[in-house]
Amino acid sequence: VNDLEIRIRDAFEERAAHTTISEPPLHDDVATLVPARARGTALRRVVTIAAGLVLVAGAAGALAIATGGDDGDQPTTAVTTASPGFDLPRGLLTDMALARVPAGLREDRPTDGRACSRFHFRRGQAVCDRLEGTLVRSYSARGSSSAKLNAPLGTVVVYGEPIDENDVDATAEYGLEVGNVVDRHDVTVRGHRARLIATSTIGDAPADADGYLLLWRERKAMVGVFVRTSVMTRDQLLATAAHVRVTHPAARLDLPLVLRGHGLTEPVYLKRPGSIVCVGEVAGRCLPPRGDGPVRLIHPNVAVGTASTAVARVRFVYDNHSTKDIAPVRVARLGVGLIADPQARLVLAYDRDGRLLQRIEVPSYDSYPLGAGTAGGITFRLYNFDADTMSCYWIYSNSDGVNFVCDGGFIDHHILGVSGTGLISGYLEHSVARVSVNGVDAQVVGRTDGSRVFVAPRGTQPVDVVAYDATGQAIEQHRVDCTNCPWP
Amino acid sequence: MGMTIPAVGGPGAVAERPVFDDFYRREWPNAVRLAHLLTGVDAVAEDLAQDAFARVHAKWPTIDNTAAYLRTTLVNVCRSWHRSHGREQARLRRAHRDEVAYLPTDDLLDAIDALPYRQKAVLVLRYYHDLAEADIADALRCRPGTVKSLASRALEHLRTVIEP
Repeated sequence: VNDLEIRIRDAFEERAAHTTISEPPLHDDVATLVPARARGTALRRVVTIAAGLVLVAGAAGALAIATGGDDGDQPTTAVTTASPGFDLPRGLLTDMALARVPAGLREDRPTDGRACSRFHFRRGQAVCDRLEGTLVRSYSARGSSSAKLNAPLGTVVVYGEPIDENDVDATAEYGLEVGNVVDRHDVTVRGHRARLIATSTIGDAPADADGYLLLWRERKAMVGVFVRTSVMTRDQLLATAAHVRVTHPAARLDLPLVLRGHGLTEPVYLKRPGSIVCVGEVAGRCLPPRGDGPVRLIHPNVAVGTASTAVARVRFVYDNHSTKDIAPVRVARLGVGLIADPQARLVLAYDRDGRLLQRIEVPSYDSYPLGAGTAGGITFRLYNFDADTMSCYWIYSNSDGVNFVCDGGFIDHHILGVSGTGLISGYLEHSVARVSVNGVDAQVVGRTDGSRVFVAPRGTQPVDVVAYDATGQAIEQHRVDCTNCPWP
Repeated sequence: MGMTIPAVGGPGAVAERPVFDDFYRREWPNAVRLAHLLTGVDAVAEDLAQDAFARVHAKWPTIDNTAAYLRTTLVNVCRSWHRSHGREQARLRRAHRDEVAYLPTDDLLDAIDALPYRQKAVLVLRYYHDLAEADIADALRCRPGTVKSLASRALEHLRTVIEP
């Protein structure tokens, strides 16, 4: 062995020692490794996001959602949604024994209830290649929106590029409900033309659906993901966010996706690492992330942010003046960091030399209302609520500082909750088209967590709250007496 | 820094076929390191390793020597990347002919990265994984004599570059 060979060995060991090795891209259940291909490249990430549901991210932004076994740890058995261009190869059938016919899509050939055993997506259309062993032509995604609306759970809902004016392009709208696609063309989301790629639900039946995913693409360059589910803890969500990445289709940037859920009640849009488009909206207006420095806060109460490579250390300062130093977590090869601490009130970012790069006062909830509306000449802003229990939320008026705390008080499935002292408020299900309080229409102040919240101006107690459906028929009536409702 | 045993390409590779999950978890770091060495690009190593695992997974029931199969697959995956990356670099050079100044390679790894892929692969498999010529030949799908020739040419070139 000569000197050159020794140097080569040393050089290789040095390089190998400095190899970036993330956690295996698969989540806990390695069995969900799906040898599918997306535009010619094997899937990169398979992440279990909930029991029975995995999110697989392929190259070039291709995404698919696949359902697994009963406990979510079994090999994937069926693809429920996929983005255009997501090609399922023959080999996938070994793990995905059965890919269901994308119901809700126009069938060029009747399926007779049989299942599509193999399909791929071309130009936004789900094309069924094989129908239980029989080669078929295709199933077009060019259906009516109503067909899409009626697509049952566990089926493919794919929206493609417009081919002719009769094609229905999907609409991505904040607050989109499970299976509730607003039929509009040329949808603008946060100032960008958006196209919904797919939706899916979590759960086996509509009644059990407690979360959903929205995948959409904006200007062919941005991919966003919503997750709203009550089955995941905040830590699980954050852990998932740290693992899911979607490749930028043009620049091949890996985007860390920050998911929406517990503690992150607003969707987060990442244009590129370190560049967050919006953290939420009020009345359709984009709420930019806080901070102009290398660390950008996404949500005030969670203090999640992305950090540039210049940030070597982040210090959290708490109310009691205690501190905690952390290094930005590497979540992408581009050096983007994801940091989180729900209790921090001050965030300090330092570079490698210990110089202070940025100081961020973590804003309060007041800076991030979730919705707004007016009732009785008073503007209300909805700031927070517990989606799981619906037991607590705040509505502030901007005129006299009155705030209001709901203590729950569910009634039935139309008006999900009504309570208040002086003010009437509650949650509405979607079958409710209008709600009146003592004969006067109440103002719906926004959608939150799949339901709408209404408020009505203070009045004489008790009051009669009536919910009407779209035909004008009263579907629920309730008398509310809030004399015992708590004040904050 | 201590190195883990590079089972992906190491001698005495696992002959008994393990459960894929265990195999995947165990071999993942080594596969990523090997991909890094074969490409010289840290950023693509994980993706290429994942591609290789996906291919192995598809053939899993039929594979006898899983580690060797993964190693060969990874070598091929990296070779494909090397080709496409080479074409991409050539296009960039043409596009920016007047703007890009190329620095001389004064580092051993730079010189290795500049080698033709097969020469580089031979060096990696020989000096990092300590594979015998026959095993390297299997991974590269060539004759052992070709391995010897490739290694000789690679070393000769490196001497001219780093030991002028």
